[in-house]
Amino acid sequence: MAEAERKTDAFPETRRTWMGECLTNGELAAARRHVMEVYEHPLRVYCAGCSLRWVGEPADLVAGFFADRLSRPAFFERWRESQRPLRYWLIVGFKHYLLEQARRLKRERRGVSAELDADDATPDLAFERECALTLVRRALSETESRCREQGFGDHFEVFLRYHIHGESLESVAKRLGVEPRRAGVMKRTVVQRFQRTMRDLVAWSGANDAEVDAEIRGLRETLE
Amino acid sequence: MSVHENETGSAFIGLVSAGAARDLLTLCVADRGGGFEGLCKRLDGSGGDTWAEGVLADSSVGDGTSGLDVVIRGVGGPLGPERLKHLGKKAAVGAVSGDDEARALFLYLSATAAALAHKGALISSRDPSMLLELLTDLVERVPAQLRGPFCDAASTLRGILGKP
Repeated sequence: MAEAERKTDAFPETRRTWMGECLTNGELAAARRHVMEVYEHPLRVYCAGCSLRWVGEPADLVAGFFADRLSRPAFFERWRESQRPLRYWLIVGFKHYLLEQARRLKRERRGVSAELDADDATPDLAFERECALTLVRRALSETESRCREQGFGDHFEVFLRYHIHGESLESVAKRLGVEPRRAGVMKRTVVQRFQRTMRDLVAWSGANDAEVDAEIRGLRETLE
Repeated sequence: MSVHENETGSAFIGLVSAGAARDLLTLCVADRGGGFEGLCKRLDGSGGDTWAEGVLADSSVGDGTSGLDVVIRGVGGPLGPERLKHLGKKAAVGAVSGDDEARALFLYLSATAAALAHKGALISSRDPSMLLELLTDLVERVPAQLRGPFCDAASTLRGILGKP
């Protein structure tokens, strides 16, 4: 997309993101699929631990939430307008959905509580933690796919062995039959791709670099 | 044992631990510094495309030919990329800020890409393997109209290095 065109689209100040491109291009199905693939598990974990877990099976409730909210044309538009991270937008929406379901059941079965506990911090933390893990795995998977498609499978292997398996660069270099310095460059190439993919996954409309950094730091803290 | 015969890749990604995920997130925040990192940051940042195109458009290699013409269309004859590279080196000597350094490096790498893409010539004395990494990384960062030449350059260099 040309620079001039980008300046007049719906994201005048934001960085380029995959979700942003999808929504701007009207590829709502891809955006919905992405949300379901990345956030289904974290939302289920939240649901299983929150005070409204009596409302139903987590898997059914998350599926119901997706079916109800993601089918609304304004759902993503409002997220963009909110200028908040997607995970925040989703958990707020999911809590509202749970309350709606709880109140509906309350009308049918008198005497049950239809409010979320004010100190429901534990399931919130569980949700954040699962988001962090899922987003990292998603970014890894996307980085791997792109590397292999472009003939950089060995680069990804160096990255994975060094950063995940904890092998030394010398060991990885020996295994691949390349100089350690070269292995270092191969690793750096993938680090940069992973970094871009990860930042793209967590960015939102209007987010600047410092805000994306803060979001990543926040996700990191949930894993400590 | 081949690197492909172990537990790496897609199947392993789903098992990435919280500790490893935390370390990977750290990678995504850290400002890794260095000239190339600075260039990447400039290209990825707000107005990166306009900046990159402006750097090349404002760099004349003579006869009314701009760096943009050299990189996109291969205009300027065999000396076009060399002159552009010289502008990059000159800019590096006079650089006083991070933006100046990014500008100088971008001119140098664009000149190298132009020579590879349009002339099939390697005019950089940098290690070719490392140069390939840098050009490959830039393919996804440069403005759309420069992606073709940078992609062709990386492909030509891979051929020079005997890579499939």
